[in-house]
Amino acid sequence: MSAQPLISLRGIGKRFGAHQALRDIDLDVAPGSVLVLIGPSGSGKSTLIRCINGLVRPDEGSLTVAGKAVDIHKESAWQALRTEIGMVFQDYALFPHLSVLRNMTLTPQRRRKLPRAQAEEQARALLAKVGLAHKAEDYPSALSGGQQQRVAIVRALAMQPKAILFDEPTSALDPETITGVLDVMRDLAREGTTMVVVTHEMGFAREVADRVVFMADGQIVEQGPPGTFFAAPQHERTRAFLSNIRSFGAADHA
Amino acid sequence: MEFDLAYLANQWPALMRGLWLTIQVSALSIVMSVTVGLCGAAIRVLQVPVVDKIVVGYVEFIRNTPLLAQLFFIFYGLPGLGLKLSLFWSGVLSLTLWAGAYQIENIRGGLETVGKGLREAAFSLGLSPWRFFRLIAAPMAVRVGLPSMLNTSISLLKNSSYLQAIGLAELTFVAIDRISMDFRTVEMFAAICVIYLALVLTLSFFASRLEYRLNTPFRT
Amino acid sequence: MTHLHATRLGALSTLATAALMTAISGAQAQSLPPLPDSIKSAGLLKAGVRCDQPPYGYKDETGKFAGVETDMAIQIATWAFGSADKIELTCVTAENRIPQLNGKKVDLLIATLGVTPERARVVDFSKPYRWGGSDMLVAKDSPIKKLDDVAGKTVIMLKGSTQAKWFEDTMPKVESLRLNTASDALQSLKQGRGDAYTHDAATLIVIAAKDPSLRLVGESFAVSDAAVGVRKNEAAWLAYVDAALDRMKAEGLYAKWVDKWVPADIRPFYTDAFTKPKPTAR
Ligand SMILES: Nc1ncnc2c1ncn2[C@@H]1O[C@H](COP(=O)(O)OP(=O)(O)OP(=O)(O)O)[C@@H](O)[C@H]1O
Ligand SMILES: [Mg+2]
Repeated sequence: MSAQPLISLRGIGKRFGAHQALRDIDLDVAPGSVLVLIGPSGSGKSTLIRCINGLVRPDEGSLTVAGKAVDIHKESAWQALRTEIGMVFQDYALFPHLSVLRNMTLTPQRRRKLPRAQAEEQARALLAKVGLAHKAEDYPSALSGGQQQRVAIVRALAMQPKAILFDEPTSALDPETITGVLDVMRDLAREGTTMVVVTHEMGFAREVADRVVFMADGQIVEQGPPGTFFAAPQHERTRAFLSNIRSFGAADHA
Repeated sequence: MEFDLAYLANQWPALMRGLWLTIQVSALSIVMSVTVGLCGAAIRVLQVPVVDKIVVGYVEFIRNTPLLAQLFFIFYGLPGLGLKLSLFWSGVLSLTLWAGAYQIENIRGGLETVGKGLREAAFSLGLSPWRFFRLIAAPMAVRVGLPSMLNTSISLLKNSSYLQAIGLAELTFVAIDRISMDFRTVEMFAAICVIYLALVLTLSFFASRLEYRLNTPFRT
Repeated sequence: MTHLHATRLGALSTLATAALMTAISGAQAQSLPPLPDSIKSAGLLKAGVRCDQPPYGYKDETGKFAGVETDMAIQIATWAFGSADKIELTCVTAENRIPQLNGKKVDLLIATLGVTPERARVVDFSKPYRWGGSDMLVAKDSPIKKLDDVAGKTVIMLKGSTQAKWFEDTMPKVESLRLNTASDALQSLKQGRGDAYTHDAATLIVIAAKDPSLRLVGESFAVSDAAVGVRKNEAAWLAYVDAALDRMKAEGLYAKWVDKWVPADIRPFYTDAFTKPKPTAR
């Protein structure tokens, strides 16, 4: 881990009404590293990852990105931050009324002020990288789930973010299309993209993650490099969770 | 009395002048009411504090009072409050406010089909709520809401005949005015019904073309 | 004796005259032609009257039908069906009165209906029962002093009114704002949406008397006869109405009704309209 983390959370807390969804979270993400977040359903993974770009606003704590503190109570601060941190969702969330190309050029043109031609050139290059150059003019409804998710990933990349957040990017996909998406993510990791990934793909975690974080009940229970994390989990809850996943096995495609 | 075509031919220029005014008033009001609808729906959906309550009140007021009362309020009532609009603009304003309330509901209905997922996606790309509304939500809502927006626009077109009551010389005014002098009731009402029908069919035709174009992304 | 005789004779002749008068009016009462079956079968008289034209036809503060023409209608019902209750009064406007009649919603119009050739094409007119001129109402300080002063100005009028027709034929260059009701017209005048409001002089006199911010221009034009309107081809009914109007005149009922409905200060104008011959004007 490098001395200066790209993303740094300290004492993050969030409650929904009476329910404390996150409690005193400290987390660092080193630049160029892949952090995988796992945990049982309802443990707060989505909430935590959304606290990094303000889709969920933390009630308390501090967030530092690239050395700059983010004013967590100011909407404009979050809006500025979101141009630097991309996000990929479980349901792809492509804009259905825009072509694939337009999905990818919209925000670079609006937020990064790229001229149209340049934005399109960049978009086509990114699409070619994920094997979808021929789909540029199509509308999302003409693409398979896996193709849509790959578009969603390069759409996030088109903003040239410092980091990308993934919230269960393969959970909605057919098993045969999952591989294509994971391959893309693996390539990104190899290129040194900073990523925070919520996933149930333990194979991917083991192979790609620099660090695995296990959450339960809104708290971080245990974290470590995948080798030691999977080989020798320290906490009882971690062990229970991992054995549960293994016994189902279906989610493991590695 | 038999149906007198020669009489109608005689009155045709007057009817066409009325028709032109009907088209002007309606077209302007349709455009403005859709604008009101978009703004109102945006305010409702983005839950702008205080203003959204005003929008709710406005919609309820318009939907639960007669158009004719609203028209008279604007034409005869507003001057008392210091705002005297011409015949034409009184007409446009009343039709705009009337249809605007319905367009807010139509567009809001369309907006509700734009899910939380797209909203988060747009935000996560750095779009502001307003840009999300303008670039993503509104275009999608208009597609979904287009049939009901067309209905409201057709009603607006037909309701422009109410403007005869304040003396605006639109199509119905011309007919009623001529009838009150020449008593060619059957000829005149038959003529304007046919003209209104043609207008509505034309409007529907262009709306269906628009709908077809807007729906291209969803056809595979 | 002679004197006495003469006096007696005078007294006698007075008596005789009185008897004769009674006999005549009795004879006239009986001389109303038979009520046509088409009207009789309804069991009551369906009459269209104005509701915003005091003192001819209007509704009083309690919302009851009032006015001279309303009383005329009630009188015809009394003669035709034997009771003042056998009547169904309908409010008609200048613009819808003829459609109401021809659509058989009412069987006659006593509704400030002026006799014009266009109207004569679609309805039958009774004998005129009064005349009515037109005038204009303007703001007190308006520069309009006579009819010709409205050239190039906007004149408010009612759709289908005698004045609308008259301006179209006689002064087509005058801008018109044509509204549906007298109250709309008056309001529009007060809000300055037009420079003058033209209507029957009889109507405007009442308004001007009540409202010091307005004045009459005072030049009479478009003087026309007012008559009862009935549907075409109902000759027996028309004959009945004509006879009834004659009887009202003979019995002096018009003067009585004018006294009943018109305040003393403006009464002569209306008495003249029912009893004096029509004056000449543009
Ligand atoms: N907007 C919200 N309002 C109220 N409660 C919420 C909201 N979002 C999340 N929660 C609650 O917070 C807790 C954590 O939710 P979160 O979605 O972060 O879990 P998760 O770990 O992502 O679960 P999953 O694996 O099922 O996606 C849950 O109990 C959830 O019900
Ligand atoms: Mg989740």
